[in-house]
Amino acid sequence: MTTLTLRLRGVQAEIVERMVQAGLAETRSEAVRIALLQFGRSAGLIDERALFKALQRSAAEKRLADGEILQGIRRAKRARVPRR
Amino acid sequence: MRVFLDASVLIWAVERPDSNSARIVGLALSGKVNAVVDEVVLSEVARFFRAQRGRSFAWLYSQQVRRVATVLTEADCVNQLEALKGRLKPSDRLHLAAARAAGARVFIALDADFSEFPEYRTPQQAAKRLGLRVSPTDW
Repeated sequence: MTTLTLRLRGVQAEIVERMVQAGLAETRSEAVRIALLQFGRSAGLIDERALFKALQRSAAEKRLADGEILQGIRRAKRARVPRR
Repeated sequence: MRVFLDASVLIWAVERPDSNSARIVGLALSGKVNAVVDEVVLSEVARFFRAQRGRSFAWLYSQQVRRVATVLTEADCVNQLEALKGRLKPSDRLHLAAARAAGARVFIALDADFSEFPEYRTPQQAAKRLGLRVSPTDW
């Protein structure tokens, strides 16, 4: 693990603020983490599988029970707009 | 091979790294199968992860699915939707119509409503067909 103290100014600070305001990240730290993952992917530093494994690891930190997943899937499907 | 992935497959794949769904999504991520989804699948996946894991997680994963899979809209499968009229719940019709419009030979989902259709496979059945190590759970 690496701990960083960052000073952001100008457009970088603005991007971080906008990410939080738009609800893409809950905190500024989270915004920086997301931006890094996205940069790593777009710059070819990590591949799709590495990004996917990072998401799996993040999910495993707060493991949901099978029943919670099934219920969540049902809710997500119920909320969809009916098709013709 | 083209395979259609339902939202449940994409969700179990993240939540259970040892699942059949995770192995199938792994094949799609490495380009060994061509994944197909539709716009409703993407919305369901985003909705699940927004509720369970937060907006950033949902956004990152939705972006990844968009990069890796072919995403069809209702406009892409008008003829297939018409052909399926009355045979499925309206809300499920787009999924199968999208799979057929994209030429997907396998439709992977965990939903018995699709069981009468020949391309339907559970993740476990699909993993077997794709030659993957099979996990004992359905998902």
